[in-house]
Amino acid sequence: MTTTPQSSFTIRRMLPGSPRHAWRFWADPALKQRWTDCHPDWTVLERNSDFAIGGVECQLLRGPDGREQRVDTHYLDLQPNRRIVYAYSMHLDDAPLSASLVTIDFLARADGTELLFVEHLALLDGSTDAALRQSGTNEAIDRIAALFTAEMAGATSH
Amino acid sequence: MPDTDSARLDHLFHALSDPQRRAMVAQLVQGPASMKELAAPLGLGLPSALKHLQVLENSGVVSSRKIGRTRTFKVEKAGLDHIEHWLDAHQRQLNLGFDRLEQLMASMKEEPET
Repeated sequence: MTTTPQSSFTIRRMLPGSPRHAWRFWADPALKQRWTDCHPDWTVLERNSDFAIGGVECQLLRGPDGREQRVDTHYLDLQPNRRIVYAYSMHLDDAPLSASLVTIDFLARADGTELLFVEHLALLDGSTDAALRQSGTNEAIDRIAALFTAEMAGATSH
Repeated sequence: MPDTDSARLDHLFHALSDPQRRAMVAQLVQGPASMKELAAPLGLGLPSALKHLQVLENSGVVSSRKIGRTRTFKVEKAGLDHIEHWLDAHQRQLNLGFDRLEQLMASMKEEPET
């Protein structure tokens, strides 16, 4: 039996403008799309917005490889200009990839807003398949790295 | 990181075609190191060490993280450390999004309070 791999991480970023200004870029769906859309070559199959406590959002995209990626978001707590708490899960072609709890705090600073983003992420079964597609080249890198170590050892012994 | 396997291999072999870069990878296999620690044994200045490390990083062989003023490099062992690789890629995506957010926020005026 294996346990569920999981981990937490924190990202801190300084943003220009007040927390009220920053809040708009989450609360206004059109504004949010302008900075969260990172796959211009992906087709949007489904996308709704429900930025409210208890709100549920779904985004379904089809990639250039024909695979479908689905993100389901549940808003747990929203304190305007201060805090966003949500849970979300990701699926690739119906296989579960990950499930996360995210808190975002907007902290007023003299020179702008400090964004404090904390995510606790659990990796689910489908993620192993996604990673396996990459592991071929990674194993090659490991072997090559071992060769270099031998090369260096040889160079210093002469 | 390049998208397709063949593009990835092109970057990889270019990155590894240089003996100084191979020496850096050999050192990093022993454990993470700062740019200074990687430059010193090769007698490299920091600007040229940085150039080499950027080539390695673009190829996906090494990754780096900035803590305070120090950038630390490590070998990217994605296949071996699944969750760490996943988190690295995820955080890279998030930070790219926050880069776009930062630019967008700066380009727009604050709404007057009502």
